Amino acid sequence: MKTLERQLRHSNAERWNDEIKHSNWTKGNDMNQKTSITKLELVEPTKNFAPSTEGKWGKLLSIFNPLGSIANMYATTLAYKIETKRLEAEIVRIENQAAIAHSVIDKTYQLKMEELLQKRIALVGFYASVNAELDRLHIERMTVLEMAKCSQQHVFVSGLSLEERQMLKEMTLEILRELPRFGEQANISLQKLVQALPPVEIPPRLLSE
Amino acid sequence: MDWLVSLGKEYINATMRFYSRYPSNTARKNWQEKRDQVQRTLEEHQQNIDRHIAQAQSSYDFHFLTDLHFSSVNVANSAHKLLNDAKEHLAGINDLLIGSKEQRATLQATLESARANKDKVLIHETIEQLKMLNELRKNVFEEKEKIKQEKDQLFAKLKELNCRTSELKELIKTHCGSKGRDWYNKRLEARRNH
Repeated sequence: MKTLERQLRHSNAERWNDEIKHSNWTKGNDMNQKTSITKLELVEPTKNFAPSTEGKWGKLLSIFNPLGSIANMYATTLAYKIETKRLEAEIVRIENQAAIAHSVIDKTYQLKMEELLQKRIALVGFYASVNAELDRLHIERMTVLEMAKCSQQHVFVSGLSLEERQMLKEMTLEILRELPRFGEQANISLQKLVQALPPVEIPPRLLSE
Repeated sequence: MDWLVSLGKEYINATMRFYSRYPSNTARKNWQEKRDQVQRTLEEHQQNIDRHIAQAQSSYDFHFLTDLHFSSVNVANSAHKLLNDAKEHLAGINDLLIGSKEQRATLQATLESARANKDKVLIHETIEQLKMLNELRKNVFEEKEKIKQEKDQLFAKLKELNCRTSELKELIKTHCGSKGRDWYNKRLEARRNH
């Protein structure tokens, strides 16, 4: 009788339960970790896989009653089949989840690229306007400088009275005083450009891990 | 009687072995296959997702950094243009100074000649003109100094911007995989040909 009881303790259902518990294809602890949309969820193992349908005395009785063994076997087979069906459903779930993850990656990428495009368009417009302003300032500056040259030459043209020369000199000085203003404006424009410059950095992650 | 008990035991054991092996073993085999399939599917899909993320990230990094580079080059070009403008302006001021120097030499010659002829009116007029000229030259020198400072500041700014551009180029080369390296090599090639 003792031998029979020992055999019962190691019934098939219990052995298979142990196999599943020790299989390393699922890690229960990982399920507790923070899940990301791009990380597929692991498949949870069944905790009570094909439990024996018999109690302590039932097992003993089943030794003398083949119908007990048949019932046990039937329950185990059924449990395996149910678990197989569940795994089939899990495959469908994994495939759907993967499709969602791919879609999320694509959409995030498109969104970020659109952001970059818009930023680029805005910057191109900004650079064009500031550069046009710098061009204008340069032309004005050079024109004013030419005026100063011309005015200086006229100060010393023969046949002018001292008053006229004095007036032309004052005009030249006034023009010369105007020149730094263009430089200052140009510097302000450049400063605007430098300030609008984005910092050099490693691009941010598209999706969190 | 003992032989009957042992026969009974044998019968029971044989029945148990038969029932416990055959149908549930097939189900178990199917379940194991399915389990392996799930594991393979999970790993394959996770690898595909990881690869997809890496590709998207790499492409985004490339565009992000090339856009930064584009901005940096644009601003550096503007700074370079301003530096050239300042140089041009400085050349114009130098022309002004050269013109005034020539004018001073002429006036000094006129003064010498007026002193020799003792033409007091001309002496007075020439001295006045020389005073005006010196005042003008003083102002032009001040302006020249300001432009020199402006030019130096622009040069420093341009160096800084070029440094930034270069840093970005290196970042694109090292951070964006083969696409980044190709981009870098193309720019290097274009620069050599230029």
